[in-house]
Amino acid sequence: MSAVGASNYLDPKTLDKIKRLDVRARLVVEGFITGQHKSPYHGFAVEFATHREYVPGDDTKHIDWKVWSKTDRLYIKEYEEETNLRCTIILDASKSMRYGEGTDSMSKFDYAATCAASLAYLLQQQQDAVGLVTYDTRVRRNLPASSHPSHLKLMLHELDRTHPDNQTDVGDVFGELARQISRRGMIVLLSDLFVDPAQLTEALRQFRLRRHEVIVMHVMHEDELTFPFDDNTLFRGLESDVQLHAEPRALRRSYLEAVERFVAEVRKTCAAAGIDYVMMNTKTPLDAALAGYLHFRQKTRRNTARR
Amino acid sequence: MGFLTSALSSWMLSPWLFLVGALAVSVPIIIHLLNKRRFKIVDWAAMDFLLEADKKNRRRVRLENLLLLAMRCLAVFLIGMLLARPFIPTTFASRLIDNAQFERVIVLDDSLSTQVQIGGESAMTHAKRSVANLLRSFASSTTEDSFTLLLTSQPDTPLVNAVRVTDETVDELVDRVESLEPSDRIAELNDAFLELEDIIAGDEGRSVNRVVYVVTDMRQHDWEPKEEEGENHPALVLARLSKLSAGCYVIDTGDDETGNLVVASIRPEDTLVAGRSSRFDVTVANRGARDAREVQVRFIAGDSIPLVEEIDLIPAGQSKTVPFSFTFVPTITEEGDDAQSSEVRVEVVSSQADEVDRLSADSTAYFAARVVRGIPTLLVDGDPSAAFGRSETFYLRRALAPVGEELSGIAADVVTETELESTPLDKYQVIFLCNVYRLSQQQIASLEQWVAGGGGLVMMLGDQVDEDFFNQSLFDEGRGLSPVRLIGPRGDETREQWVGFQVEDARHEMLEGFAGQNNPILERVQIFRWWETAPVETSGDSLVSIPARFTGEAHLPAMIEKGYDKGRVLVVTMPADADWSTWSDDPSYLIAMQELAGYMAGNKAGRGELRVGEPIRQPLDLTRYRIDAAIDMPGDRRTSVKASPEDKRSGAGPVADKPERDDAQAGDADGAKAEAASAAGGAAPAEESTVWQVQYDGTDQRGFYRLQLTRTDGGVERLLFAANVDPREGDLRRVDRAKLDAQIGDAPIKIIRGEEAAAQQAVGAQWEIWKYLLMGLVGVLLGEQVLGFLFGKRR
Repeated sequence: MSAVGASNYLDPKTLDKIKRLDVRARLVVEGFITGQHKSPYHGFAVEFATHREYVPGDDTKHIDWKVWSKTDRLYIKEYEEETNLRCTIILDASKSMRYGEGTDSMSKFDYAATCAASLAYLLQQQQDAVGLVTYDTRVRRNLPASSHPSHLKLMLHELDRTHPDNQTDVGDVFGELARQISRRGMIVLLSDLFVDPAQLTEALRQFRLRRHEVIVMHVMHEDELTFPFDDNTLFRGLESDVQLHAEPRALRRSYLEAVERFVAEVRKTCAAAGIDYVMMNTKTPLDAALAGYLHFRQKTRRNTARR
Repeated sequence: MGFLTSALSSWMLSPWLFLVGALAVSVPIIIHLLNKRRFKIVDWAAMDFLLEADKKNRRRVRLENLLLLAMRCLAVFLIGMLLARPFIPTTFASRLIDNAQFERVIVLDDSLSTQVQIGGESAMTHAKRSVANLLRSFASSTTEDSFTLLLTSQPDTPLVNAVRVTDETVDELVDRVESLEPSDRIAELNDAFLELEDIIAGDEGRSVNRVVYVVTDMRQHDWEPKEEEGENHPALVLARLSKLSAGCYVIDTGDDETGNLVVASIRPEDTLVAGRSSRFDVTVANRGARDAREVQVRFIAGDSIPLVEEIDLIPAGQSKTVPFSFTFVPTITEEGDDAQSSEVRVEVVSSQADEVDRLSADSTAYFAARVVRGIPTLLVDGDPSAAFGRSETFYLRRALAPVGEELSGIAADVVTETELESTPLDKYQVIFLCNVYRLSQQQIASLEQWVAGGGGLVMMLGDQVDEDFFNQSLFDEGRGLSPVRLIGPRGDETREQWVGFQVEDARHEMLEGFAGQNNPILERVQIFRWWETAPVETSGDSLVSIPARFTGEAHLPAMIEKGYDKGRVLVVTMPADADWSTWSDDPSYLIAMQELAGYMAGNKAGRGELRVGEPIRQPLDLTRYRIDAAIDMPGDRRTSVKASPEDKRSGAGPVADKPERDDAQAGDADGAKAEAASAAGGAAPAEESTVWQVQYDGTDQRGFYRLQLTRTDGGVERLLFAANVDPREGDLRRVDRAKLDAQIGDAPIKIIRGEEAAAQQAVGAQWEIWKYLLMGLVGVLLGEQVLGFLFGKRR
């Protein structure tokens, strides 16, 4: 764990706070080992699911002999399979994520990377496979999911290496990713989502069509949400060459309205597609944000499980 | 900058403060621009949202910014204005600007029309009360006030000049005002205003807060623009004044009643000759809006019993003329004093004086009747002879002043050519030059001067006349005395053929008697010889007329007349004696010559007429009179005056002057020298001249003035002058307010009634402006704050 602890993005405090939590797939995931996640395959594991009449060809070892003795009929006892989770963390490494660099608070990218590392650590801890994809206009790095202990180290190294640059273009990237991640699993998207909303909706739909469970972690900087500027400011676009000389006080209201509208739209898109949407404000400590979300997941999972 | 400040100083005390304020307006703009240049740079991710917000807000923001900027500029500007205004009454501001002093200038109209009775008191009393009230309020105000009083009757000298008004001095000042009496002069509003303008203009440095009050009864004629004043008529000058001062008030103390009877004129018909009945036309004008009935006109000459005429009705706005006939009794006076003077007074009395004659001062008129024993006439004989009937003037003298009891009204003296030189001309009204051979240049000069001064010269040509001399010196291409050039004697020496007279101008005063039906009287006259002459058509300004011609083919002029300055010259192209004609035997000769003398004498009876305020002027020959003279004035006052050299007025003056002046202007280098020379040249004849002038300006009261001259031989001569009020003052019509307002334009002049005056006392017009400025400033600052807050809140 020493190598893990050395990483920039693995904050012990955060880890300490979330280590008792677990990331559970809410949807069914396909895995190969028996784990805590529901498998799409009804197998023969621990948790009983149902009986069904034997049909020739079934493995005889699954016949419930107790039922046969009582009813003289052959029934096969079926169990819900629990398997391990394959989680792919998609991290936005576009230039816009750099906002907040050089200030007291974390930049958006740092925040997202820390979040990614924490999640990866957590998943690794519960024996699940984790993969990491970084992208800007294209996929920059794709570490396929693996539950191998050394895989976390690799991922952390990759996170350290990554410097946000270039623009965002989700259309191509997500399509490609959707094709690459073939097995059903969990997709965690860490991004500020500064893309065309229509494109974003389309991209998220791609994952949903392949039955992935998608969690959108919308990373926004505090400044972007409150617009706390007062003096005359020249705003330079991080991803574009646009410049705007403005008096922030005059624009705040309209700006915040625009942001709100955008967030509401993304939220709606996600809700419609059954995607978990988490707003991550860089001002909120990561541990609190993450713990809050994971608690929330546990609660909702229990509800679905009971159903 | 200097031009700006001087232009601005007409309406603000410290224009430079205003300019500083105006410059300071740029400060908010500069701050705004600097602010724009100072900015933070932020690399921003959520550019799309920002651009969207900016697109939405750009115009509104720009508008709001502009509005706020404008308000800030306005606030700074207002502060500048506030400081630049002269009238800032708070102690704070007075310490700041060091000028809480008011100079109160009151122009008091004490013209004749202020003697009008309003409610039992004269308008002047009302005006004085207004002034006294103003004075008391100045004294009680907190500001330091100085007080200047200008009377319209003496516009050039302020009665009170910048006296500090305090509780101690106010009583004395009020007493001085109360003791004022209305003058008999007209209101010289314009002169007073111009004088005031001069005072103000000369007082740039002190530049105290000046408030001008004009206390007047607002009669129309005082305010009417007069031709000769041009741009300087009272309303315009006052408008200019008001812009130079902090406040300008016209305080109206008159009323709208216009009823007034005026003796408009007393006109004698002819020269007043002692012993002969003289007719006077007295014109009485009703200047009011009501008909005047049963108006009594009294004619009082000296100590005689008044002649009374009654006029039944003078319709409103019209005048009636009443004739009076009066014979002045010849008094026996010492030798040489052939003028006697008689005081003639005409009074108008109306039974309804309260209504139709509210101004009594101009209901009495004065006339100085200078009665002569006869028209003083001088005959210059060019062909004297002791033999009976041979002298050139033999018939003429007898025709003009026949021997006998009956007075002809003409006193004729006969001199020869040589005697003419030593004869003083100024006592004669008519001079006949009868067949004079030549005159010396000096004689011509003195004749020219005499004619120019109003004399009537008759030249009767005869066989002795020197044609060349005449054409050169007397005609002088039309510039001389004569209107004709001589060509030569015509006619028949054998007396076998003759011509007669033909009256050309039947309306001519001299020939009236021979016109039309009466022409045959002249027809009997046979003229055998005459001078052929060539008259010029015009001479100088005056027309040359030919009242009579000779019959006969050539139709030559018999009499040619022209005006010469104030006098007249008549040339008769035949002699006065019996040499060339039979006229002297004819009865028409006597009539024609007497009429001629009367006509040439003109009407000199009114020479003692003056307007109140018009100076008495009398030429004084130092060889005959002493330099000191005395004047008896109305009210038994007496003053002495001294004669002073008069600018000599020579007939050829204008012609001679002109080239001299041109020379002075032409030569730049020796311009000063030339000017000095011309000045010396101009002064020299005045020094040489023995005729000086007595001038007395103090004719402030109506009535008789008697100028007493002492002769060198010890005798005393008295000349009577009568000063009458200006008939314009009798017109009590009020100024047309609409017209006055139009003339004043937008100048800050307030016209208030006398009663309201005291309430206005301490307030300068700018005081109000100052108040509004401050209110405006507070409003703008508040508005700026509120708008700033609102704009900030919306963002």
